[in-house]
Amino acid sequence: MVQLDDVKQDVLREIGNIGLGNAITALSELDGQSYLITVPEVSQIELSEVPFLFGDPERIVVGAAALVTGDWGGHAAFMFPWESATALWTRLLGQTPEDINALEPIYTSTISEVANIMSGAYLTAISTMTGFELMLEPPAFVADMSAAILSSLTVEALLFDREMIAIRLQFLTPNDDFEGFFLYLPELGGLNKLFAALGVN
Amino acid sequence: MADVKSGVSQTAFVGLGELKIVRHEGILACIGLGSCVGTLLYDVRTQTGVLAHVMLPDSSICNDKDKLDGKYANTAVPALLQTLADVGISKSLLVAALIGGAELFKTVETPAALRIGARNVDKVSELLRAVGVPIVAREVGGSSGRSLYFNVATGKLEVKVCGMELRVHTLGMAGIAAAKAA
Repeated sequence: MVQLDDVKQDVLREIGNIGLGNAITALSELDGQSYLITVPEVSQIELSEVPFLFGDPERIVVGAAALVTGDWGGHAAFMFPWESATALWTRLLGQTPEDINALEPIYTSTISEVANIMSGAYLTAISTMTGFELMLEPPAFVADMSAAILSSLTVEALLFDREMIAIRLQFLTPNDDFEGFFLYLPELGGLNKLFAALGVN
Repeated sequence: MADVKSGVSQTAFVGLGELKIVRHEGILACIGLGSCVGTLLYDVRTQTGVLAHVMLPDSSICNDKDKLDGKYANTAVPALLQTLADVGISKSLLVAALIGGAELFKTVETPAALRIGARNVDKVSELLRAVGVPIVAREVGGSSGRSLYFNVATGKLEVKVCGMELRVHTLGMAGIAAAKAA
């Protein structure tokens, strides 16, 4: 695992901040409402802790994963805990599914779209800082217990000796608060390639 | 449906790449198996269960430093048998259960070589077959995550999938008889 000194933490924090700005703009354009999103925390976690990112490992989370191609390809995912997805559905559609078995296309496509916008916001932030050209492929929707999703991503990461970037976002709105996670698993060169592009060693 | 965990106070949660043994009383559990495979061996005579949370089919795939016995199919199966041998249990009457090995991100274009769930299941099955341990319960593949809870005293194995009814298997003499007859 890459050791994150202060400078490297700052780099990730800066990506978090720029991504945040992009995300707020994109979300506000989507529903015409205002969002306040908390400044993301940057921390380094062991892969074995990844399945517990959402707390209860059997907590249902929904989101979308997509392949990223270009100068620093990999897998990007944006995930919402079920309760947060419910808040989003209410906000955007005025209705919510009763449970995981009632996920009609209107719900899955809405989450895929929002997750895609959020992943895009962060990838744009990475592009802005590094000059990397990154393309997001069409997203795949997923709804399952959080540990199953996160451990599957962890295995992918292990397979290529990769690191994973995880940024937690809390969305504060006048009516309800919700949270989501941006996850990025770079394919080649891991985080070192990002730091090298920025002249950080 | 009766909960396999009711009345049992001790639960051993087996995390990514770990392997744990429980004897006489208690629950062995793997939570949120995606592409990983919960590999359980059970000796009904001594009410002993040993469970590994297998992540990858073969230790040659990546060169990592941690030495978790349960992480790879090719190290987990011998370690499961050794853990039982260490407490004097031979493989003669063991039965096995395999749970997991799903592909959650199915629609993402994945080359066959990267379909880890199916490869994990194949490798564990092959290794168990080679040592003659029958697999009496299997819930593998598909695209949904699973949790497993196993009560070593009763031999009841509960499999949980989001949005579905719990499924319960019974491991023990009946399972052995069925496997021998098949």
